[in-house]
Amino acid sequence: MLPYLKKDMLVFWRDRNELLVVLLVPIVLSVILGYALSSWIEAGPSDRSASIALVIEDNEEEAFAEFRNVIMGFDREDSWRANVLEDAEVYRVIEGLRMTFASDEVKEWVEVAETTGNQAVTMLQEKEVTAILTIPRGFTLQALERAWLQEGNGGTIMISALEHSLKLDLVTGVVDRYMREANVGMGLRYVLQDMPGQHQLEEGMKLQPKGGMELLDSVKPITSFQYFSLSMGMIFTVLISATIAFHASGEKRERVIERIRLSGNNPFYYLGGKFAASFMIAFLQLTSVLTACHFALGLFYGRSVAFWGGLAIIVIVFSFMVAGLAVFFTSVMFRMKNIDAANALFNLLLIIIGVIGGGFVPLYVLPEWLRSIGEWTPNGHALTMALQWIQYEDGGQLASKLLLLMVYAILLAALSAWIYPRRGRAV
Amino acid sequence: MLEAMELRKTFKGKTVVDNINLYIEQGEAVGLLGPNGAGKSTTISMISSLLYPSSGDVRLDGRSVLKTPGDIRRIIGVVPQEIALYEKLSAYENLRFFGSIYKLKGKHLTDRIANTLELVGLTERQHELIRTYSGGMKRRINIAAALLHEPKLVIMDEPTVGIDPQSRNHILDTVRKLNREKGMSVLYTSHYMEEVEQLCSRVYIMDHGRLIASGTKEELLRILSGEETMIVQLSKPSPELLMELRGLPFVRSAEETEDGVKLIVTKQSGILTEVVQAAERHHVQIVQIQVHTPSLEDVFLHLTGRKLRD
Repeated sequence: MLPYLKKDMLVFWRDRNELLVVLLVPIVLSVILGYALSSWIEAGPSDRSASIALVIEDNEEEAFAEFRNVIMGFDREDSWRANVLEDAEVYRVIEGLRMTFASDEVKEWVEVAETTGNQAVTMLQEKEVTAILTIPRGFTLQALERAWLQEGNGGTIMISALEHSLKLDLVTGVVDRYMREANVGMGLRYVLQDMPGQHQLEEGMKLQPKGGMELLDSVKPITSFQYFSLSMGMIFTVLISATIAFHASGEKRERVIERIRLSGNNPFYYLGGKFAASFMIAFLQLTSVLTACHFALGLFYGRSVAFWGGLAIIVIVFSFMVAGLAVFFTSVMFRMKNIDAANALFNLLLIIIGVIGGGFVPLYVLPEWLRSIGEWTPNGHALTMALQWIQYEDGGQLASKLLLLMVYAILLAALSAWIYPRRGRAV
Repeated sequence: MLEAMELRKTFKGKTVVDNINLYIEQGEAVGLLGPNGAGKSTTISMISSLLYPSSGDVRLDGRSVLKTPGDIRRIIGVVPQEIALYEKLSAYENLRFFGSIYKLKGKHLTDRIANTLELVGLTERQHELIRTYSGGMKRRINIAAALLHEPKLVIMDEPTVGIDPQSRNHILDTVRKLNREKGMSVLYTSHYMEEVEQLCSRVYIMDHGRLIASGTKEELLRILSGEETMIVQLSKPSPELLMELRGLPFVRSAEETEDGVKLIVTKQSGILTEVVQAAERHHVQIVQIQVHTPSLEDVFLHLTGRKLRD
């Protein structure tokens, strides 16, 4: 198999200009689309269909009354008690959340229906709402105790949804942002009452995650540059599969393939060489695009080693899928009599899956039915997976999605081996 | 050594090769002649195991190789009509790749590459990309690629199509060397009669998918032993004269040439007089008349009614 791999890599290397174009175009497009369509990605979808059921099980007045009793029970000076109660009074989280959802900025694209728990579950099941946001009993008191007394784990807001979606990401993002602001405020108040000076402010900022409230699911927003670097990188990498098939069509046209057949080599060596070459080229292509975009556009600064590891695995598995697609196209091309028609068909297919897989426009601007299909295309699936990894860094979710992409790669390679003609059909 | 028995190939109900029987002995050079579309390439593809015949058999030393193509692939080298090379690789890189897939390695591979390059006379240009080569040089590397693994039988499918006379001579010399000095068997297809006459001891003639004649050159020429070829140069073209000549009882075939007519006539007296009289009747002056014994080209014309390069 090694001679085939060497030969394919050498042929690609001889097309250095073509390689350079294939590398540069996605980078340039990422920059252009990143700037031009940033509002599409960063402002979220323009439709107002994102809706949530807000279930408030907590009673803020009771919580504050109880908190007052707790504070009054401390053996501290009156001024301290007065300060804490005064500061805490300002932070009425539930009211603040209601106001956030009612603000012009948010209500434009998130509808909130305040309801009971049972009713909310019914609404969710009937898909009237995207998610249920539940503020459980005791939330306010727990948050206040955590923020001002450093006791307990703080209050927890729960978001429930039937499935992950970008709309859910939006809602989660709104709540997360609100919580972070509230936490910072509470943290500062807490610190400033004990420690004077600049140092206090810095310490207050460090307390941000300990402000007293926690959201179950924390989300990092996707930037338009991140989106388009990934989508462009992936779609141009997928195009490598058609390029490999195109090169193979040259081998068929020039009858080089017959020379290869006459060598008596197992045909799987030929396909194996194509698979390995496609994998390597796809890997280099996507890695180069993402690396260049990272340094040029600051895609993933400050992310953890684990994040980079996950991203590397995504790139590797995606490259396997591209290699599977390349050998599948190669075998189909050998089966088809009209080579030009075969090449046109592959490119058309890739453009279609590129569009519905979110390669050129964000997935959520597509109609629901098309988006559902798009998320099942190999590139759409990989893109969704990468975006979720950027947002959640959820290893379990990543593993299951990687598995599916790997299944795609294996199926395509197996199908390719099955349909690859063992002996020439025509002269 | 190799025998094709009653080979037949049908594509979509159309028979393109029908009942071909041919054999090649060890060290023999055999020609397969026929015009374009005669079925030569299909026949070669079946013999070399690239195409499964609709019926018939291919035997190597008496043993069928249809179901075990590896047996025949090991001992043959095929020079396809197309330039089956990677244009973006150099000659050396091409040969290295094709040698590698024949499992040649290390020094043996390097030596084989050097030998074949020397044989085709392109050692000095081995590191240039194939796309920079002339048509003739490409054809020479095309041959070299088929010789790397030292096959016992080389099958050449019109290896001199569309090249300059110098490269053509070089290729013919190479084929001669392979056959006479290295003892390789050669199956050589061409529609250049003179190449087959020069290189091959036996010839098969194909037309419309069938073998219409076979034998040594002498045996084939004997088909026209009672006839002779008459090349008549005329002062001007005359379709009417051609028509009249075709109607004469001793004329077996008549065709128009660049500056006159070519006739195959039965040997008998008085022919010249009749031809001259016919020309006078059509007010055409005869510039020159040559009479000679028929060539294989004439045999082909006689058998098929058309020229090899039609």
